[in-house]
Parts: sequence; structure tokens; C-alpha cells
Amino acid sequence: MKAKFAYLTPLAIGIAAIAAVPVVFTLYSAVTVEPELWKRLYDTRLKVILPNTMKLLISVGILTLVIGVTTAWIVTKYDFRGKRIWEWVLILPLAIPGYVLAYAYASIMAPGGLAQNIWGSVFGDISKMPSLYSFWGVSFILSLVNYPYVYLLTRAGFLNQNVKYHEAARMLGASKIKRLWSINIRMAYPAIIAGVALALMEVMADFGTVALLRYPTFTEAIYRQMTARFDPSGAAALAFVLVAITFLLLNLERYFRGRKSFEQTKGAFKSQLPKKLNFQGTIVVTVMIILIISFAFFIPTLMLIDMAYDAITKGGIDSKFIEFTLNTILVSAVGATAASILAIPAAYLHARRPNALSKAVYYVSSLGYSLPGPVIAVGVLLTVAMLFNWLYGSILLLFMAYVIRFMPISLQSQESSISMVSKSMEDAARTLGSGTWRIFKDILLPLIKRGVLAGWVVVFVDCMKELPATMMLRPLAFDTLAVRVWVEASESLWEMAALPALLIVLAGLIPLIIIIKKMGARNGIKIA
Amino acid sequence: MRKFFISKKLMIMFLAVALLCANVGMAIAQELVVYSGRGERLIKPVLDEFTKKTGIKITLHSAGTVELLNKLLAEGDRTPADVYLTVDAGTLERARIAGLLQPIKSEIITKNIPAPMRAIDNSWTGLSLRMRVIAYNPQKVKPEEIKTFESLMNPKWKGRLGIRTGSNVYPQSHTAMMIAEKGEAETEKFLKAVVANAGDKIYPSDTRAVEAVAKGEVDVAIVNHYYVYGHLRKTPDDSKTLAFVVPPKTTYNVSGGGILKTSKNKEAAQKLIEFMASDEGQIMFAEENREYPVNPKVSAHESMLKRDKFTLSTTTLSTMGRHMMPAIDLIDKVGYR
Repeated sequence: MKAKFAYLTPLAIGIAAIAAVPVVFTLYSAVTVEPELWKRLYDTRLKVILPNTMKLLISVGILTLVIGVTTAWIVTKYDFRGKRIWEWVLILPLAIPGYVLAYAYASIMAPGGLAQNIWGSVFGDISKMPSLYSFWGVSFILSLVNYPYVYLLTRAGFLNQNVKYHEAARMLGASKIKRLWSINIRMAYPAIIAGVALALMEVMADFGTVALLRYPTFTEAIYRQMTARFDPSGAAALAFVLVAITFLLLNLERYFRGRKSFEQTKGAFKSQLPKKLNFQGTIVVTVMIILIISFAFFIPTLMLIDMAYDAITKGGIDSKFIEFTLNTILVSAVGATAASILAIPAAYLHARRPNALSKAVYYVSSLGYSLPGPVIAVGVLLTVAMLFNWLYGSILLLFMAYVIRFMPISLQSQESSISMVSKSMEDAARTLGSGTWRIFKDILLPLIKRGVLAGWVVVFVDCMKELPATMMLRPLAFDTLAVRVWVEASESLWEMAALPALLIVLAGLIPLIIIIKKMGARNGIKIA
Repeated sequence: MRKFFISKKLMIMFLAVALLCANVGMAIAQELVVYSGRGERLIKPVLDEFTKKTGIKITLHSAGTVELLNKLLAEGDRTPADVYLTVDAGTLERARIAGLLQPIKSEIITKNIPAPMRAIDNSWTGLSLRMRVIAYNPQKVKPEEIKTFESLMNPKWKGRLGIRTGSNVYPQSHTAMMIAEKGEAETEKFLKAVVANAGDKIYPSDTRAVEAVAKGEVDVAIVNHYYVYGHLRKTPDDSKTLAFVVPPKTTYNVSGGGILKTSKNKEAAQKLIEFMASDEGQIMFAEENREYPVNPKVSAHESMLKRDKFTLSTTTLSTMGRHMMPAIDLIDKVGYR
């Protein structure tokens, strides 16, 4: 029986090494950095970006918490007209990458733009208008982009609450406020914290928003260390600090996700019945939701459509545009396909033979998802510099980064699809003399096809949206949609960026459909 | 199925022949690979003229000046590049310090190019001259108010001053020259004051900064001189709201180039640099962009300010270049994005 996994294990280990080697090189470069460089980095970079990043984590943490929990509360505890639509509309901002939203608002708030006109006619003095290029501007954008993580997880947390606790508490004479606090909030708080931690990890990984709005944080500092100074060891040192903070957050999230002590295992599960809202109540919550979703999705998207329309009528779809659209499709398709194929051995082993080794391989292969793009890019560059210098400047570097960053998504979707297929069919086939490849091709693959495909689509879209690693690793003059958005937007050529940005948002809607379908099952997503 | 195999074989043969032809072709005609940070629109005509004259073909890779330096550093001795052209002497000096550039022995260059505008070992040379100037709106600002860059430290410019993003080589080399002249402490004070005055009026390009002055968004801005000329050429009416002052002993820079140590075509590469340093090349290189030829004997375009109407800093560009890294550090330190 052992023989059937014989070559799968070394294969999976080899693939895990692709993810691990760049991380190892980065850590190695960071710990061997001269104390002198650390001091200089502290004086010129860390002194600015550490407090900047911390401030941002706090403000976005609070804002996403408030928006996410409030909206989750409204759609789970109340029943009102249109709720079923609002429930999924609230996750739409996930389709917009931070840099696209930042760009859309930068164009809205540009001199002579829409916002200044409105401000001018209402308040008069334009110079008093708050600037987007500020701490609050960045907080605003990143909160709008990331609150859906808190919303999604909290909503699931609320839905998983058993009404029996409420009944018991009421019988014991607990006041309404007390019940709200100690049952609803305290029981959902692992989910809430996990959501906020996820949002904050996105904040740590964000490059485009902070770079576009000129608010220096780690990712931007790492990018500059490579692009302005070509200083890989300095970049690695900064990456090291960033990764340390990210892992702290990640473990916080894991810790809270792991806490399921509130879940009731025995007895029938009964969800709390949502309270029917009267007319005024419906108006209040609907206005609230519309306000949030307009700022987070509809206003910026309409602005993009408007600008894209202008760009098209002025001849915006030229051969260049077609070229970088094709480039984007090409790299994303190769990235997604590579990630899907390379994930198979580790996913299979983890599902079929969960031992210490396969778990370790799975964990190491999943590392990349918690690493910000610039960190992966630095790792890839260091690896290439030390091992395969001749590869420099080739598009393979880009694929390597995509695989490291997004293979964890393929792993997860494949692992869960494989575990759902009963092992007995494979065993039966084996008894009848089929080889591993044939079993995989004829039995397993047809059954897990959907899961693999779903994973492929998500990775494809993520590759499309990826900005920092693409910027740092692309061959000279190789443009993608994401790169064009960033370049044109940082040159304030608003209209030129609109069409690529719109395409990215449209593509971003596709994976949301998968999430919405899952939400459809009313008591749907479990936190785990 | 059979048919398919035949066509596949044919295809391979065809490819082999094509590859062979391409190789032979390359061996016959001399060819140079140029990494250029200078705008393609500006450099292409010069290179085409060179090819017409000498028959030497050129493959042009255009990208950001610093981006190309990073590429050269990473590619090491595997780089296909023969010639590296930049819009900034500081980056050329960085390339020289990193040992990428080959000293050039050429009388044409030593005769035509003033010493402060080339490397001490002649491993790079300036080709066109540009100055940092103060663009202003004559309807709102008197030239006496902006005699020097330091005058922009005055808090009265709060919200009225536009500057370029700190990640660009122009403010970086400006800062480097200032450090060379006044030291880090003074320069830090200057940067802090100017960044505070600019607020969020930080422009992603000099073109935008000049436009901002012309449109009344800001009253003054620090830019390269030729952007003002460029804007006025496109929209002459804006001369009412756009002019510039050259501070005495102003900060200057060159766009220039050098030959890679690893080049296998150094002779042809030197011909190219010499062509660009020649009288004819100098005019082609500078005129379209309204820069000054580095060779003072070649006259600048007639519409431009005459050379005896302004003075340049006495700091050499090599000295400026050596202060480039401290300048980038300082810019980061004061949070100038």
C-alpha cells in the first residue's frame, strides 16, 4: 500500500520548496544584515513607517469593525424589505482592489473634479476640503475595501448562534442589553476578531493604495528599497519586520478561529428568528446600507464607467490596450494553471494521508498567502540572484511569484473537494489493478473538477489584480491591466486608467458569485 | 494524424532555417542594444539618424532611468546592453561607482563636453543640459519674491507651492546637489519646509506641476526649465499665467550616457556617444526638448533664454552624483513622497 504514494511525496516536498526557498532566502538576508544598515533603516524608514502602519491598523481595525458588525447585525437580526438583495450587495466591494478604489476617489477629488464642485457649491472654500492624500484618506479607502471580511465572518457568526441561549438567559432574568452583550456579541466575537484580523492582514499587504496616496508603509518602503536603491538586503530586512507583524496577526486570527468553545454540539440547532422591522426601521437601515455601499462600490464604479466611456469614444481601445489585456489574460491563465496543477500532490496527500509530513508540506505550501506581494517579489529576486541569475528579467519570475502567493487558494479548494470524495472508490479501482495516474484521471479528477475549476477562477482573478509583485518582477515594458491602472493613475491620467480598472472590477465580480452562492444556503458559511 | 506529423516536421525545419538566417543577419550587420531612460519620442530620431549614417542598427529598450540601472545591476555581466542613457547624472554616477561603466577615451568628448558635466574618468558624459527653476504665475507672484530656492521655505507659500514626487530623480538630484553645497542639516531644513508648504500639491510629473501653475492651482513650483517651454509651445496663451525664474548658481543636471563595461561592441558604442556629442548630434539631442546642448559652442534654440542670462552651480555633476544615495535617504527620512 505504501508504494502508491511513493513519488507523490517527494513531488509535493519539491513543490513546497518553491514556496519555502524565497522565504528562507529573505529571512537569511535579513538576519545577516549589518547592524549599521539596521540603524540606517531605522533612522530613514522604520521611524516613519512603523508608526504609520500601526496608526493605519488601528483606524482601519475600528472602522471595519463598526461597519462590518453593524451591517452583519442588521441583515441577521432583522427582517425587512430588500434584505436578501442587500445581504449580497454588501460584499461587492471585495471586487475592487484598494488601488482601484484609491484611484477612483483620487479622480473624483482631483482639482476641478466632481468632489470639488460639490464642495464648492455647498461650503464655498475649496481649500478647506479634506485631502485624500492623508492618513484619513488612506483609512477611508482601506476600510471601504476591507469591511466585507468582517461583515462576512460576523454574519456567519451571528447566524450560527443558537436561540436557546437567549431563551435561557431571558428566563433567568437577563436584561435586553445584557443579553445583547453577553450572548450576541460575546459569542460572535471569535468570528468578529477573525474578520478584523483578515482585514488587517489585507491592510498590511496593501501596496497600491498607500503608494498612490503617498502614505509610506512597509510594502511601499520595500518596493522603494528595491526600485530606488536596488538594495535587496535592506528590502529583506524590512520584509522581515513586516512578516513578523503579519504572522502575529495571523496567529491572532487562528487563535480566535480555533476557539469554538461556545458552539453547542448536542441538541437541535435553532437559529434566532430575525425581528420584523416596521416601515421607519426599514427606511433607516436601507439608507444606511445604501450609503455604505454607494461609497464603497457604486459611486466609484459609476465614475469608472463614465471615464471609461469617455476614453473609448476618444479612441482608448488601441493596439496597446489590446496588448496589455492579452498580457494580463496570459499571465493570469498561466499563473492559475500552474498553481492548480502544482497544488494537486500536496492537496491529495493532505486529504488522503494526513500525517505529520503531509501536514507540514501543506502548511509550507500555504505560506505564501499570508505574505504581502512585495515580500514575495524580494524573495523571488533573492532566490534568482543566488541560484539562477540567468533567469533574471524573464517572465518566469512573475509566474513563480503568482504560484507562491496564490497556490494556497488552489490547495484549499482542492483539498476540500478531494476530502469530499469517498476513498473507497479509489481503493476499489486499485484492487482491480488500476495505477495511480489512471485512478486520478478517471475517478478522482471528474469528481473534483468543479472544485479545481472554482479554485482556478479565483486564482486567475487574483493574479489579474496583483500589483506590487507584478510591478517588481515583470520584464521590461511588459504591461498588465493592473500595472497600467497604477502607472496612469500615478501620473494623474485619470481617463487612461479607467478602462483597465473597470475590467479588473468586472473580473473581480466573478469569484463573488461563488461566495454569494454559498451564502444562498441560509445558515450557510460556518466559521471554520 | 499522419498529415499532422508532416506539418510538424516542416514547421521545425522552417523554424531552424529562420533562426539560422536571423543569426547570420546579426553577425553581418553591427548592432547595438541601448537602454534608455530618455523619452522614446526624443531619443528615437537621434538613433535613427545614427543608423542612417553608420549602418549600425540599434535595439532600443526604453524604461525608467533608475529601473534600467536596477536591471543592469541585476543582469550583471549577462546584460545585452551596450549603451546606457539616462535623464540624470546622479544615476550615471551610481552606475560608475557600481563598476558598470567603461571609461571612454575620446577627443571629441573631452573637447566638446565641459569637465563638470562628465565623469572624472570619462565613463559617462552629459549630452543635454537642464536646470531646476522656479515656475511662477506672474499675475500672483513677483519675481523678487522667489529669488532663490530657499525663499520657498517661507511659510507664506503654504498651499501655494507645487513640487514633484520625491521618488523621482529630479528632486533627488536637486537634493543631492544641495547636500554637496550646504550639508545635510541645511538640506533637511529646506526639504521639511518645502514639503510642509506643498501639502498635497505634490505632482507626479513636472508637466503636471507646470500645468498647475498655468491653471492657477498653485502660484509657484520647482520644475525643470524645459517643461515651462513645452507648456508654452502647446498653449502660448498661458504666458500670462506662466513664467520662470532661474535662481543664481542654479541646480543643474544633464541627460547623458555611458558604455557598459560588458559591451562586446565598444567601438560602435563609442561612435554612438561621439555622434551625440558632435555638433549635429548636440542640436538634435537638445533642441526638440528645449534643453541646452552641453557643448557651450553649440547654440540653443532661439526661443530660449540666452546662456549669459543665468549661472549654474559650481558643483560638478560627479560630486552631485556621489551624494545621490544620502539624498534618497534624506527624502525618505523627512517623509517626502
